Amino acid sequence: MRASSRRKGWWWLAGAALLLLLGGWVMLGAEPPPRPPPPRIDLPTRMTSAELGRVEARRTYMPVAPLDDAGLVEVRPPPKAIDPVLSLIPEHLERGAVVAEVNAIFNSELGPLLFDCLTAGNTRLSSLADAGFDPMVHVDRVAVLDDTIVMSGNLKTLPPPPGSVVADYGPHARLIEPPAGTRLGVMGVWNDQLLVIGENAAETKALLDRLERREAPVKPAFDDSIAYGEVYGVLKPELLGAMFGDVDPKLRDLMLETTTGLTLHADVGHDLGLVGDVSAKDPAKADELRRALGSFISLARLQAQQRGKTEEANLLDLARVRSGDGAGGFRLEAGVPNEVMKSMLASCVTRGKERAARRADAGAE
Amino acid sequence: MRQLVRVAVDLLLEAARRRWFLALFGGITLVLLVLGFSLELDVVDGALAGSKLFGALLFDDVVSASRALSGVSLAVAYVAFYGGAFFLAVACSDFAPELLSPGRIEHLLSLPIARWQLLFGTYLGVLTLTAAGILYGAAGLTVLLGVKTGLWSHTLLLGSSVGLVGFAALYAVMVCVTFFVRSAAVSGAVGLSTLVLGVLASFRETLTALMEPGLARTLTGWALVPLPRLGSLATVSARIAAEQPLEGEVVSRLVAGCGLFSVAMLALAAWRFERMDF
Repeated sequence: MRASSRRKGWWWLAGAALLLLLGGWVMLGAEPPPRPPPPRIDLPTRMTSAELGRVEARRTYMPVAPLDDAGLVEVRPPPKAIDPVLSLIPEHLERGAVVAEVNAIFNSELGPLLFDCLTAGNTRLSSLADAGFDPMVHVDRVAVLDDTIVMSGNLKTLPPPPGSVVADYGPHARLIEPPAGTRLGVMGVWNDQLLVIGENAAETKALLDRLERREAPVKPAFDDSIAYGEVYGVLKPELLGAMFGDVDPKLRDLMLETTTGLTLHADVGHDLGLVGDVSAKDPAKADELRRALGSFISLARLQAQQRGKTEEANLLDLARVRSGDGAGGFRLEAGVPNEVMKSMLASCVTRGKERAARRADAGAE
Repeated sequence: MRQLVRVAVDLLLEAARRRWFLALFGGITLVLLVLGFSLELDVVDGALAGSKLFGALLFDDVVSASRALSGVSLAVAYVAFYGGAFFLAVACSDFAPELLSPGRIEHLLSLPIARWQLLFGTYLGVLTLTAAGILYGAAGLTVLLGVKTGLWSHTLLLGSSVGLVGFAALYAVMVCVTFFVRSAAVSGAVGLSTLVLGVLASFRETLTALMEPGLARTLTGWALVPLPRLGSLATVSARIAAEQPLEGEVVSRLVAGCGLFSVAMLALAAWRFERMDF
């Protein structure tokens, strides 16, 4: 009798499970339609074999053959092969250094749109083209190192700005001083491969001297081990704080107090995939910052969702804060899907053209 | 069916013997009296010229009495839904444990009543009891607001019926838990936890959006699916009371889902009850 009642009891359990599922299904129909899952974006989290090959190919023995005062070749063991662009990074960064693999970016799927966005309405481009210089082809990398700009590539055909004074500086370099009144700094071209723009002539000369190893070598703030992704570099807390200052002053202060910087890697060729490794000054406080950033993203996502900004909410769905390296550091990840990037860049191009048209109209009047 | 009703009636008689009705209706009457004395609504020519609750101003400007009544009904319905659910979850927590108390359960099982009839009858009895309390409270509020504003509306009564559906789900969980842990305190605590979880389930999408994408978010999202959407039901109840528009299909799904959840919990309790030895 008991066995029979126990067998019968299973019907109640099965019925309960069935009703629970049915109830859940019925109530799901009362909810607003679910948001589609966010698209998968590949993030630059490590160096690929192709990127490793690129890094090795860029290592150069510098200088080629230094001369002494008598014009004789000084014989000394060749220094370690280094990447000329990265060798210009100062030992102590003030705000940060970021390198963009411009050639790879311009020749990617989003490259032409990105180029148009950056150059829409720029009249100087036609004069560059007349001289045989095509930025899409001849520029390899552009780096911003604190206040210095460095551009690498095939610069043989790069024309100096009109009215500039060009003078040789050593066996491999020349100095280009733009006419007074222009906003351009003094430029230096090294080996027709590197263009450096310092704040003044002394700074530009110092950079060229570093390339020629006339000065005691300095250890750059970072080396080519982080040279992966299409944009990479290091941002110092001062710069990060300035970025967050207007949005959340408390977050800015926490950033200044707890971090030593952020190592950035980004891919922009197809989707925008962004990875930032934050290194900690104080692990306990950095964890506080990690949680604050996580809450910041979650709240922004919630607000976007409540305001019906589905696209913004979907973008924030791709942003996350991952706990990191055990030394208190953590990783920030973000992404923008290809379709959104295309639409953003297309509107950037339109805006640029409109601005150029307005400028042209104003000039004609 | 007759046996089921007999168990329910027996529970009501037991409640009456324990002066439970007196306490319930006395409590509701007290709340109505306090509200009656503290709520001041001066209606002049169909417009609310002045309004105060416990001496504090309710509406700054002159509004139509019907609009003011709608606002008051909305607020009252929300308070009644959550306050009522909280109060009833605590107050009714010992009915099911009482059913299983030594001596009583053996006596009941010796009667020609199936176990599931005992269970469902007890549940029905408690729901009848709470329905009477909710009806009394809603009717009292309707009369109170009607007398104070001169506008009579039955929407508070309709809205309160949705509140009963919500409590039915809460109490089903409380009954179910009793067959696993015979404790009035645990039963009450689980009822209150279900109330909180039911509110969270109503904001499932928003809640999961707060979490980072991954396994935890997916699991949380799915775990909340079968739970009754008590927060949404509270909104439905308040909107009915305030005569605001509602989507029929959404309301039907919320009520039906809540009903299915309640029956599922009772079925789980029945499964457990069938396997218990006394």
